[in-house]
Parts: sequence; C-alpha cells; structure tokens
Amino acid sequence: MLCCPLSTWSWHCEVIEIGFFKRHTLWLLTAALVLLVLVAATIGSIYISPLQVLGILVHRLSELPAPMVADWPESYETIILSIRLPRVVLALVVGAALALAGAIFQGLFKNPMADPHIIGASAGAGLGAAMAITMGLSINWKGLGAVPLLASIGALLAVILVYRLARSGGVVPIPNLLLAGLALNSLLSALISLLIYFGQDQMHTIVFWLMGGLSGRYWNYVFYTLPYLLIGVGAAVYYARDLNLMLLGEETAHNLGVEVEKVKAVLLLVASVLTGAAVAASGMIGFVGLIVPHVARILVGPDHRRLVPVSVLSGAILLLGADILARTVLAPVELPLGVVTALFGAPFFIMLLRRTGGHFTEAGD
Amino acid sequence: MVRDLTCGYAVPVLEDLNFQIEQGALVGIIGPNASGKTTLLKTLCGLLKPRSGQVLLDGRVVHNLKPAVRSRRVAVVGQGVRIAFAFSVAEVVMMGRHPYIPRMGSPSARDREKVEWAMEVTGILHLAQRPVSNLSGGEQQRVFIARALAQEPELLLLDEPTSFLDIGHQVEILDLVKQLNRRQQIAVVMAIHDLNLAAQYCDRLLLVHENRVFAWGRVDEVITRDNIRKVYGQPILIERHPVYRCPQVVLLSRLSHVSDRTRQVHVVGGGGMGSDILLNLVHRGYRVSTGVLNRGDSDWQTAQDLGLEIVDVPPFSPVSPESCRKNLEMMVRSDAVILAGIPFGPDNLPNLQTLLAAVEQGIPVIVVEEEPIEARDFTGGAAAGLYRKLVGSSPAVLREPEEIVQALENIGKRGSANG
Repeated sequence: MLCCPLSTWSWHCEVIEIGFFKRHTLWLLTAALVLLVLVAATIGSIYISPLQVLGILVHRLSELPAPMVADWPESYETIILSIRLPRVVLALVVGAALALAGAIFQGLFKNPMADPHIIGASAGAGLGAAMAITMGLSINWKGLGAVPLLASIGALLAVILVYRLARSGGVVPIPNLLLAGLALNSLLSALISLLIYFGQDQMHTIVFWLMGGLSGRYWNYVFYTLPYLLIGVGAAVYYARDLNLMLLGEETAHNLGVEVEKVKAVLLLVASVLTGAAVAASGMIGFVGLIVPHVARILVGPDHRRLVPVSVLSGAILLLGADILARTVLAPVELPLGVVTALFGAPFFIMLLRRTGGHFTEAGD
Repeated sequence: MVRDLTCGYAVPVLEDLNFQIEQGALVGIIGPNASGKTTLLKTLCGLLKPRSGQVLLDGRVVHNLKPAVRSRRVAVVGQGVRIAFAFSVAEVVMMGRHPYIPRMGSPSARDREKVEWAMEVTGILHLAQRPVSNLSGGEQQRVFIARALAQEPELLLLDEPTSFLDIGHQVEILDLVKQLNRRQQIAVVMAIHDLNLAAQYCDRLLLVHENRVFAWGRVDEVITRDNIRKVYGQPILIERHPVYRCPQVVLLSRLSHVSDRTRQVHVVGGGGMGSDILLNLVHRGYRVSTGVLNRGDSDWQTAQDLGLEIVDVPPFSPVSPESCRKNLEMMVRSDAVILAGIPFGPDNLPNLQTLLAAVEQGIPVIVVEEEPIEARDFTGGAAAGLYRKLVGSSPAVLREPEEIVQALENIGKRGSANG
C-alpha cells in the first residue's frame, strides 16, 4: 500500500533538495510510534517495564520462543494483551482515522480549518451513534457495528449539508465553513440533548461516551474500527495525486484529467466513514483532525502522497500521547480524552485563525 | 470544430455557435465583460456540458472523451488562478503529466524529460525548486503555461492570460504563446479583453456579443469601427499599427465638443495634407466626408480606416465631372467645407471649381493656408486665380490646421444667431 508514496517520494527528494528529516519522516515517525506504544503499555495500576512489555509482545505475537527469559508473572500477559494493548491500539486507530479525515476534508474543501469536529461531521456521527445507543443497538457482538454504521451515516449527512451551505462560487470560504459548521453543531447538539433527555435509561452511557475516551475499550472495538481505517487509508493513497490536483481548484483538476465529481464523492464518503467509525469507538474527540494535517504539511509539504501517510502516523502518535496524558496527569483519576485534546487543540485553532487568516500559504514553507 | 453549439448554465449564455479552428491556428475570443468568453472556453474544454450542439475535436465529441484522453489533447490555463500552496514549480509542472502517469505509478524518464522541456521553453527552469506561492504573477502564469505544455496538447485554451499583468509581462506572455503556437504547432484559443493585443497577436478573432457570434474572421474583418462601436457602445477610431500594420483601436471620449449647429463637415484634401484634419474632426465627433481623392492616396487611406464617406477616382487619374457632381452634393449637405493646404495641378483643379460652386450655394468654406498659393500652384496661374476668388468669399482663412475647430464653432454660433 505504501509503495507508491515511497517510490514517488524518492523522485521528489531528487528534484527538491530536502533535509534529512523530511527524507526519513516515515521511519522516524514509525520509531516514535513503537516507542510510545511501549511506554503507554507500562502505565497502569501495576508498573510493567518497557522491556517486559516488549518481551510479552514478541513472545505472544510471533509465537517464537521469547528472546529473553519470561521473568514476568502470567497475569502480566493478560493485563498487557487483553486490557492495555487494545486500548493502545484503539488510540492509534482512532487518532489515525481522525487525522486522515481531517487531511481529506482540508484537501477537498481547500480549507485549512476543515476538521471533522469543526464542520459538524463529529456531531453528525454523535447523533447517529446516540440514536443507535438509545435504540439499544450497542456495540457488542449482537449489534455488530450498528453504532459505527449509524455514526458514519450521520457524519456523511452532516458533511453534505455543511458543504452545500458553505459552498459559494465553487470554493468553500473559511467564514462560510465556520458559520455553517457552527450552525450545524448547535442544531445537532440540541438534537443529541433531546435524545439524552428522552432516553433516560441510557443517559449515563451517552453522556460518558460523548465526552470522548478510551477507557473500557477492548479488542472488539478495534475490530469494528480498524477496517474503516484500512479502507480510508487505501482510498486516500489511491486518490492522493487527484487530491493534490484538487488543491489547484476543481476546474484545473478537471482539465488535468481528474474525474472531479467521482473523486469528491468517494473521498467525502471515506472521510465521513472514518469520522463515524472514530466517533463510534471513542466518542467526540476534537481537534486531532485539525492539528495533525497542519503539522504534517509543515513537515513534508502539501503533497498528499507524503501528507497522507505522515498524517496517519502522526495522528496515531498524537492521540496515543493524549491518552497517556489523560491517564497520568491526575492519576488515579482519568481525564476524558476529548477534554485533553480540546485543551491543546482550541488554542492551536485560535492561533491558526489569527495567523493565517485562513490560507494554506504558511504551511510547508 | 464547433457545430450548432449553445452553451451556458441554467440559461443559455451563447447560442448557435458555428466555427472551425484549424490546426496550429491562434484564435482570440473578444467581447465585452460577461459576454460569455469564459463560458465558451469552459465548454470547449469539456468542463461544461453543451446545452445543445457539439464541440468536436478531430470529429470526436470532446465532452464524451475519457478524462485522461481529453487532457492529453486539450490543456487549459485558467483565469487569475493563484496557487497558495507550497508546491514547488517542478511539482506543479509535473501535475501536467497526470494523464500520462498510471495510477499508483511514478513518473517515467519521459515524464521528467517533458517537464524539464516545458520549464525550459517557458524560461522557468531556474525556478524549478522554488515554491510556486512565492512567485510573481507573471512567473506563476509561466508555470501554468509550462504545466499545460507538459500535457503535450494539440489545443491550448487560455482565459485572459494577461489580466492582472503589467504591459511588460503582457507582451512577454503573449510572445511566449505565439512562439509555442508557431514552433510546436499547438492551436491556441484565448479569451482576451485587450483588443489591441488581440489584434496584434491573433490570426483570427471571434467577437461575441448578446448571446451570439457577432463577427468571426481575420483580424481586419473583425476589428472594424462599426463592429467595435456596436458591440462596446464606445466611439473609437481604427488606426494602423505603425510596425505590424494590424488594426489598433483608439478610444474617444464620449463627451462631445461639438456645438449643435455644425455637425457635417466636408474636407477637400490630398497627398496627406488632409489626414490630420480628418482625424481631428472625427475625434471631435463631427460627421466627416471627403473628396475628391485618388484611391490609394494617403488621405484616402486615412478616410478609409476611419470609415468616412469618400468621393474618389482611380489612382493617378484626373477628377472627373461625375465625381465633381457627387462632391458638390456632399458639400451642399454639409454645414461647412474645409480646404486643406494642398498643392494644385491640372488633375485636381476641378476641386477648386466645385468649392466655388458650393460657396455660391451659401456653404461656408474655411481655407487652411500654411503656404502661399503661389508656391502650390502647378497649373500656370489658373489655380491661383480661382483660389483668390475663394479666399475672398471665405469666412475664415487659417494659418494653422489647429484653428479649424474654433472656426467651425464660430460658424456654428453665427448660424444659430441667424437662424
């Protein structure tokens, strides 16, 4: 899947003199990701050292004889593999999904303020998921993926609505997008409140889930969410070059041979589904989709063949990092993950709004 | 080739278009703002679906071509597009190879070659690694043209390639376009609102106005005083470009300096002595006729360019009795007649007799005398005699042609006081 971005990458490296970091971004990010996973797995009521975590992982996942003596109690394996690892992996998957959704929305709307949370996609997904929950279709083996499905549909409808409202003369100006997102967010949160009000039985579940968090999520959540991410990454890599051309305007893209309407439809669907799956798994977690593509653009430039893989990895890292913070800052009390990302994300958003006035120009220079 | 084309959005913008663009032609689309130039270009490149009719490229309907096939043959440089992203010049030009690079594939050696060639031809090779967002408007325009070239098109469509550029960059871009058109044999169709640049650079022009093609043909056939005046509602003069001989449009103020009484003026000139007077009077808004002149005479040429009514005779032939009669008719219809400071020979002597006949009918004749008549008389005294008689009954004898307008004003005032 990654062979294409890597092979074109090398050409860019030849033509454009870029530094060591840009050249090796993917490897550096992967290394960071692995380290962070090891660190995250040590955190909890019992301290398990990173080496032990590594040992357990290698021992169990590869079915090979452990490279080191298994000097840990049996229960450690259960803790790591059944409790901590699913949460860690889910954080990676949700972070990657939100970041990728953000990158796709920003590219399609040619607008750096597009983020699943801001444009109302998350709220749409939230409404869909809340409906699924009040109707009793919870995430379990019986209700197989009903929540992510309704959440995706909700996100898609919200995105289509915002796009229609905000579009003027073939572009989506920032003020329009923010205002349409604001209006839609108000409407959707009112509807969610209404659901909570009438769905007394599930009130606690919905409210807790809306705040966003990964506690008590096991492997089944990962299994529901991961396929959406893989499909999303596949589509984004497949259409990365088209997305680049779309940045130059839909008409230019058309003239260069891009099937604009088809690409737009597919990618809007994909980004909405990514949002829906992420929201269904972890509730409303904002700003990941805003921050990550921005930072990625500064790291590797606006080319989506590099931007997409870098955003996916960075999103995974960012959300896992935020989850570590949520679990450790006030330990043993755990902060809602959505609160942590908002505490960092909102100032970033304001800074971005002040600095760029809403253009891509400053990213990547 | 465009057949019975009607294009537009919810309502038709242009109707019943029929024209054909030859391989390697350089065609300009001109017309007032909002006359549908951009809409036509968008329809030509297959972006807008025709409401009816067809755009054919070698007999194939453009709108039905596969996107990748179409964009290998037709390239577009849009209007006022600015890239705000940190893509490098080389990256943007490489985007022109999009229809050639297989999905998930990477650029081949040929793709890189073409990109380098396109950058070299457009003179931006030295900018290859610069971010496009940092370039000036003229440089960005070159990048877009290079990207279009990388598509290796047969047809290049440009929408106002010179808008927002200063004159130096305008000429630079149009020179480049012309060079590409000639050397690479790429047919070019460009919407351009500057009529003089259009006349200077294009082979053929399409003038669109009020939902239809107002004129289509060679530059000389399209840039005429009547066409431009009708389409733009603006009084103009057509002059010749001193070097390229193409028509050039000179704008006139719409504020009229003419008094109500004196409107129609007839000028007797010849040998270039009358040209300045003709231009000046037309500029001031008078309705001007002239004669009798030999065809091909420089005054005759000026009057022709200005679209004036002329009484003429064949080159190097004497003024005929028939033309004298016509000339007198015109003088009598006029509010005043002006005699330029021309020399007289046997061939144009009858003009003096016609002038005296006009005076007898009560038409004021203004005489411009820059040199005494003796120096201009090549008839052995016959002209001088008639001339003195004419001067005797003239309301004004002027030393400088610049005084004509004032003299005409005076005649106008006197006329209104009497009548």
